[in-house]
Amino acid sequence: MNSARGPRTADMPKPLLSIQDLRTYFYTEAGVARAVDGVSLHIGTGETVGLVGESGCGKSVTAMSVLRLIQPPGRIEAGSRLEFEGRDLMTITDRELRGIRGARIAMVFQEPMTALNPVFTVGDQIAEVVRIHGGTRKEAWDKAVEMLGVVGIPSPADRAGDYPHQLSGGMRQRVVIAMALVMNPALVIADEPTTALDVTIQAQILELLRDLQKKFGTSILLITHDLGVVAETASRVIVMYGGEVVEEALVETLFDQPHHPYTEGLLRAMPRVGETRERLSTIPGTVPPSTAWPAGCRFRDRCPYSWDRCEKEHPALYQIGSGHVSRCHLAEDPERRAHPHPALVERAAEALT
Amino acid sequence: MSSIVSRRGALIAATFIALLALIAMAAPIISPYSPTAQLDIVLQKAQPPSWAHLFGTDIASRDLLSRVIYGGRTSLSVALLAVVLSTTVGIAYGMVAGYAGGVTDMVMMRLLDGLLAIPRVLLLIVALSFWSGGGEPALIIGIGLTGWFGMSRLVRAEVIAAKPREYVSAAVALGASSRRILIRHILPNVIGPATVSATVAVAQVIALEAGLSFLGLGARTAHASWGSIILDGQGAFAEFWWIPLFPGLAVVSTALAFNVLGDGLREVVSGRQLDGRGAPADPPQTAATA
Amino acid sequence: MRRFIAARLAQSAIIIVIVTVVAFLLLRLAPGDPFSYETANVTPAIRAQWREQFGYNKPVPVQLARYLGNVARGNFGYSTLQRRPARDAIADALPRTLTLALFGIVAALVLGVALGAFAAAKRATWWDRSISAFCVFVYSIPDFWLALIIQIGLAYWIRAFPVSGSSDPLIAEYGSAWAAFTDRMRHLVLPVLTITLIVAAIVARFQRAALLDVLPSDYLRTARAKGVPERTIITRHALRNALTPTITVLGLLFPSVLGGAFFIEYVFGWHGLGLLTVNAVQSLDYDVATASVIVAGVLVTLGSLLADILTALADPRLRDV
Repeated sequence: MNSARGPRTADMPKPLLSIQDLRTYFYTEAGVARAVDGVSLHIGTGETVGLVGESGCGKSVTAMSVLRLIQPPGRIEAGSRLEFEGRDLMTITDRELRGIRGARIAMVFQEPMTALNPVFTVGDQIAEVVRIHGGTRKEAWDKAVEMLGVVGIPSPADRAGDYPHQLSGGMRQRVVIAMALVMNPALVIADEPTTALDVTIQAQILELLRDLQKKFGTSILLITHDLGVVAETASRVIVMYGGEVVEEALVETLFDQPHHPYTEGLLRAMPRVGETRERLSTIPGTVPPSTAWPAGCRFRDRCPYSWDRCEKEHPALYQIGSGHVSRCHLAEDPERRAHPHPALVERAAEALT
Repeated sequence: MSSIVSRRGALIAATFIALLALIAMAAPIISPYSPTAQLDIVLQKAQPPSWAHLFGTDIASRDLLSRVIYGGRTSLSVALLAVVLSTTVGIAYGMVAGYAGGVTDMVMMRLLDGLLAIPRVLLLIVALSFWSGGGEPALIIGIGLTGWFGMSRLVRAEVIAAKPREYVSAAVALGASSRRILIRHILPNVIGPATVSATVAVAQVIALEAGLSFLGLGARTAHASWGSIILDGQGAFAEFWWIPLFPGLAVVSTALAFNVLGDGLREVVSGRQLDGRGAPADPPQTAATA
Repeated sequence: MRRFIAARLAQSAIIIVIVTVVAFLLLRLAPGDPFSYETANVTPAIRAQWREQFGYNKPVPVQLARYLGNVARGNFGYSTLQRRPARDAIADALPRTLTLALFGIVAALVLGVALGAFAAAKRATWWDRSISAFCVFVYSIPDFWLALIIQIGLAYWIRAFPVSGSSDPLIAEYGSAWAAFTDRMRHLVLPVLTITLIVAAIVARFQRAALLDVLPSDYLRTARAKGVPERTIITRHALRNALTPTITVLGLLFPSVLGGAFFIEYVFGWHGLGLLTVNAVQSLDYDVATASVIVAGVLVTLGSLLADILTALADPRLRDV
């Protein structure tokens, strides 16, 4: 089942991409939003890693930070380390960075309609990637048409002259993927690539990504809030909450033995076919604002197991098993798991009524 | 961030305009001399600015400062009255066209397209010359009747946007007449953008009226507006530079004040639009406007 | 695309007809007629005869029909001021106005787009605020006054350019071709400068707003992720999208630009449509005045048609109307 997903991290010598202690802050009028607050992760060659979390947890910002696409008032803080293919992305020149973008690391964004420029043909936009990185016009156009065929668009030579608004949503996303892969990058970062699409198209796109990965050996960082997508595509999963990594494990481990209460909550909230339940379970409360992360554990108010240690002490990433870490004090006090209680937010809400 | 700047600018502009209005109204009290008194035909003819005459004197030996102060009365009142006229006509036309829809709307809009195709200045020069020869009332009516095109388009757009809303259907279901719906439900939505448009229109009209007066179509007497005052110095502009300068500066600063005020109002109105749309940005126009 | 053009052409034709009717009525319904002015030898009887002869005593709709027929054949009547067919007077004046307008608009576009783009790129900095403030200031200046100031400043005080006219008759007559050409160019400078300044101020403001609208777009983020350099992002990706509203605005502004040009022609003694009209109006030259209005309306309609076609060319989404 997993051979198509690429090799496991434990076997790999040196990671393709290594992020260490990434901090990306936004300096707004409302205060400093610490969108990414000390995230470390790595991706090996040929691996598919899923980055999961609800909106506001910092996963998209993490992705944008890799290619240094963060615009003011956002800023990647000093001390963050981004290493790719042995190069330090924080210190390379602008020109080198542009050379990497689109050619060695490519991004696929969420909304295919707005991701494509409405006034240029799709062929032109794909060809542009090739031209920027040194191809001639003819080479670029030929590659663009070829790529359109590879991503499964019929009559690619004709479609290349179409404009984005003339194509359907699924086709547009294929174009975006073609744009990302045309230079055969080592890493593709896909930020919610299927969220804006119909479920049936979603499945097609994911299959396309898997096939292309098999074919080209590309590493994929797949960012999503949908655990179902992750289960199908990734070999390793990283869960983010509150601007931090809260759990990381191989995909089977995460689904079979989740450790962090947030991950548990996410899994419980997934509707599953064949299950009879009257109400969908949810995680009570909402993510706190990134301008004011609480001291101690950031998930505390919504957690069914929290106790006083969680209020005072910010948990580090504890080692749970081989390749499995979790940012939760339950790692040291596992017996607390036997005493769940209503989350603090629920109690607060009740106190008001 | 820019909204803070334009709000502050708008406040300054509004203060300036209030000041201007005060000066205009208090003209008889403030003005050092009478605007028509020819003070000393020989010695005071076309004198540059001095302590006695802060703006100098014109060719007919009249104190320029006094003329400019009184001129403000004319220019401001013509502008305000003309804009009131064009706003009223524009709102009426726009509401009828927008609400009626269908063929009526189409015909009204085609007619509007035709009227819009003629440059306003040209229309006014021809109309005013052939119909009345100029003068204040003619200016007010002429400028007013040629200035409603943009406003009606704007209003029509608002009406069309408001028509499918629930509160309109509710009113219709309750048996409200078209007129009632228009006035009570749709008009409040229109007032905001219309005010912005009207404010900017005043700026344009001030400049337009000055230009037309400069061509000789305005009032020439004690009721001379700023444009006419400049006209009186024709032929010797380079020599008696103060004659075109001061009235001209008055026009520029007044138009500027209204433009800045309009910008500030636009920010306020955009914030208030219920469905989050901004006030449609009218392209700012030159003095000779359509 | 072709259907789009055909539809717009039909629309333009209707507008031109409306303009012609309005122009005609504007003058015919005014008090008086070409034969009303007092002259010694002309008795009321002779006036009545003239009116009969030229069809001025027929009902207005009949006169209108007749006028429309004439115009369709290119007959715009007779200029009492210049003593020649109105059409000839217009034909002489029109190219001069067009020269002014064309140079002015093109220069204004280039200057305005550059300024607007620069202000947008340097958003909220001192640069941006100054440029925006300067633009508001400039377009608050009445055209005629700006023309006066420029004339006084640059032609009278600093004799850098000629005061008025479109050429120096002596040079035109006796000078070399090159001298005549440069002389004409020198005469063009000040009037064109006036138009350019005011229109550029408006274009800059609008371009800035349009660009600011476009700058947060996702496709620019995509372009950056592809490795496109920042400058190309603005000039190629953003501007293509932001130019469309600017062209549209220019189409809408064209009547104002033309109107402003009229004032400028008057101040600079430039014998174009504007000066022709002012003279015609001051001497009650009915036919020329009517013809002026019609020609101006046609110009505006064609200008706006051109703007629409250009925007459809620039933005493929507009073509499938």
